[in-house]
Amino acid sequence: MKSEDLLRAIGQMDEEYLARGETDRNSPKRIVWKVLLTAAIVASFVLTAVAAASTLWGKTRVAHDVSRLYMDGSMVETGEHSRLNFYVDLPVDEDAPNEIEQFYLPSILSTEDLTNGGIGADVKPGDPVSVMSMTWMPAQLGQYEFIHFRQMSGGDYQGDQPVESLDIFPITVKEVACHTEIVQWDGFEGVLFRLENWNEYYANTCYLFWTDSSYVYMLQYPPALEKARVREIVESIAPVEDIQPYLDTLTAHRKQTWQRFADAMPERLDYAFHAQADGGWLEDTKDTGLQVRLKLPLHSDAQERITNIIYPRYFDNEELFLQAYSWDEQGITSYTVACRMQEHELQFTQMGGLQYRNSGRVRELSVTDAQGMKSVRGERIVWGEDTFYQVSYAQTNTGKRGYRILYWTDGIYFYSLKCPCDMEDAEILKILESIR
Amino acid sequence: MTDQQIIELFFARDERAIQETENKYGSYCYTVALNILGNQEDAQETVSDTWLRAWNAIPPARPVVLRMFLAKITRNQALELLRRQNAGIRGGGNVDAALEELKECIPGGESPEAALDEKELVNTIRAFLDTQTYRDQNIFIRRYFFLEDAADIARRYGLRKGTVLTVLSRVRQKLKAYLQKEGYAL
Repeated sequence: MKSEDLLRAIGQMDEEYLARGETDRNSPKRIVWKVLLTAAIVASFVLTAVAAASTLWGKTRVAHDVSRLYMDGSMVETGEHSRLNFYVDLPVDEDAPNEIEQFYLPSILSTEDLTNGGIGADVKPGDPVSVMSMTWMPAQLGQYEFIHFRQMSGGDYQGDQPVESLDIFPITVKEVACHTEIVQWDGFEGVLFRLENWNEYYANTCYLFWTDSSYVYMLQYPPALEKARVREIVESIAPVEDIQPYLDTLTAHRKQTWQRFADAMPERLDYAFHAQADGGWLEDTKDTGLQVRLKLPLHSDAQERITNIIYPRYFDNEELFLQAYSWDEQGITSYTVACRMQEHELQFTQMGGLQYRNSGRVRELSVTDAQGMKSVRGERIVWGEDTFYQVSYAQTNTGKRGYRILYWTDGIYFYSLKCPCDMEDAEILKILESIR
Repeated sequence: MTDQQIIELFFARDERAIQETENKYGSYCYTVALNILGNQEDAQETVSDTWLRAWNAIPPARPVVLRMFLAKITRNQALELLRRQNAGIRGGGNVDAALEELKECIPGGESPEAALDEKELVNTIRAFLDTQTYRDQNIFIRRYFFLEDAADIARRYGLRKGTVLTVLSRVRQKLKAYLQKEGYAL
């Protein structure tokens, strides 16, 4: 078969069918949608703050309400998690599909499960944005038929449900203020959320949502990004036949960036070990939280630059998030080191904990708990001929069980292993022995 | 004059049928031809051919939707003219682009040697389009029957061009999967 055959066959379809293509613009119905913004972008903490305000915007109603759902103009009571909901009415075609469909945006690797073909956007290397389209699937909430949008995968698909409503709401940490705004230009309308006082990684990050009535799109960007640039990116979204060039560009860019970091790394690292000798508890401080500083000895003739066992995992502007160690064993997790290029200094900051600072020839590797967690214990462990430095967290802020992070070096590479507090030493040793 | 009246003129072999058809659908068919050929003279020649062919076809054919009946003739004539001019139906901008796009729909890639039952393919495509949303069917037909470009389709339906391109890309992927399922893969 050739494409000419297809073209010819399309021309042979019956007249009545072909006449459909003669209709003019579809008239979208305006219905209310509900979108759940999930963990890939923002942590899914439940918002407990209460706000009550609503604004009318043309045919769109944006409402802030803790406990009520908005469905086709009427408010519906629900006891759902006391979350703060912003309900936005986005236009949807009457026959918008109910099935799950997913497009991947190769411009930013938002998921590792990519497929050929997809949607591209004009996102240049260095653009501080993420663009993604979201899968959506119908789900049922109690006796109400709502469409819940889940990002990329997951969700509670319970069979075909008619499209009833689409709401978009952020789920954020307690007491995080969220600015909401409607964004409009010719032929476009979307809703913008900006989390105003979150942590340093997400503070004031903007999330712009819109739909083409089949997909929901989201553009994530810092507030400093010019509106004109935002519009350019949104307008540039279009399908691409092959995402591989985008991946290649991204990979090449990461490699380039990594090389820059690698070149800047010191040839020799000396760490000062300042943890309390008896491994006792350290006190909170208001300014810096708990700190345990570790020194990891290196071979004096180590010529290799310290690179860790890392691969670029995520690139975000001038930060490169490195996977210092990766494991999928049950209960074992990796930790991520963010390597940030400052002017004359290389800073490594763990998402939530590890901080490495250059200071002349003496390098200090300090572990801090950025979340202000209590009960951090630092100690030195010797197993056989190997020395490990361990930082234990008894319990997380959200009440989850604590974990411990082991740090060690073979003089050339720096390793870490994160595991649950209650994991047996024997089990940990087995894993350590398997490291290759 | 209504379509029904025009058709009756054809059946009565009344040559006013041609004039009435041209009055009513001349511009329409010209647009269809121009989208394909990109050339005014060739489009005009094609439209003239359309009336002759319609005269020869009706009767015995009794169009259900006269406008589309004529559009099909015009389209086929235009593609045929392209083929004669270029030893293939490539050569027109919109047609070339459409053919390139439709290549994506062929499971296993193009195979000129593979025998094809055109009627079966028509039915298959029709059945596939039935599984798509109304909007997506329309967009597909505008693109691959009328060979309109995405910008024009977007204007027609009040959509963004990117949306149209997205829809088309998605539908092509699904068509490929459908054709594969129906045994069109090599």
